[in-house]
Amino acid sequence: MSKKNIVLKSSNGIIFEVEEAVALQSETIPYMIEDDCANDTIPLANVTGDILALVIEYCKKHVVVADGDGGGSSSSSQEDLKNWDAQFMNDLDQSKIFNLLLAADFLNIKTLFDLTCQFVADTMIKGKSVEEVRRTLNIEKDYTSEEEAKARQENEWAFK
Amino acid sequence: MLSDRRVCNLSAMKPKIKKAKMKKVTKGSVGFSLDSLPLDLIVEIFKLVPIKTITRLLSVSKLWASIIRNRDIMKLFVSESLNRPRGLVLLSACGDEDLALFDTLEASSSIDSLPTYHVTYNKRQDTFMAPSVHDLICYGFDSRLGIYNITLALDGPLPYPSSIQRVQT
Repeated sequence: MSKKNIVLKSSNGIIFEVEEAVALQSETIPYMIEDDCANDTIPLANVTGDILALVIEYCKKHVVVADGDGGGSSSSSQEDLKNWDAQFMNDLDQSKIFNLLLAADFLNIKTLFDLTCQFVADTMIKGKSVEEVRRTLNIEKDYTSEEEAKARQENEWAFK
Repeated sequence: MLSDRRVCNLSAMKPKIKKAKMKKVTKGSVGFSLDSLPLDLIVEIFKLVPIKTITRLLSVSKLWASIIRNRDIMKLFVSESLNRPRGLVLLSACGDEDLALFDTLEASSSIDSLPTYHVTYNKRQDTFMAPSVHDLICYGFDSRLGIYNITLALDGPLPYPSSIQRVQT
């Protein structure tokens, strides 16, 4: 089987050439190919170059592992992949994480989308106090002190 | 005067939020606000958060409270919760007035480390216990009813009908 390459172009004009199997982890890209968006270059107007580089890094890692096992996946490689995913997410700053989430949504890469959502939920929301959540996620407090006290009182059990 | 303004702001909640967010951006804050994500993505993230934390999030901001209180989103939380692994609850009477509840949801390998919750009740002939419905167990005697929530490991008196209507969505 000959390996076909696909050329992706980021919103800021950076060109990436990847193997077809890497690009096809996105469920959006096949439609763009089918629709003849471009025979040689697929323009991705919503994804900047730095984020697209991350997406491709993720897809490459995941395609290699799928190939190496010939479909079936041994538990050790699954474990490795999980560790790799965790490390991959840990190395990113918050703005990259959110942009990656948007890109995974736009490109429709389910595993990457789930991974980023879970990471945000686990590291920025779960087990955090209301004040910590506001600070971490830059949420403007629009409650007055009295309103906040009231909202808190209505759901007192959740704060125990 | 001040309270007048507050009323104004309340009725114009959405625009106020937008303005506040823009202010934040021009101030050049380092982080990235979750509120700048599309609503459906915020919901996807909320779906992964345990319901107890979600309830706390109602206090984060009015915008978040309005997202979480939305009827369709509440339904989503219910279906997500029904898809999670279900716990097995064992009941046994210990002593005259104690009822022990064992919950396997948080459980581990050994039976000794099963979380146990005690519910006190008066042992009488007319005590009854209903089977669990959506993780809630109703137990009672006389005219008093108690309800135990397995997921949250909380128990309390069943509210009177007027407040039940408010709780149900």
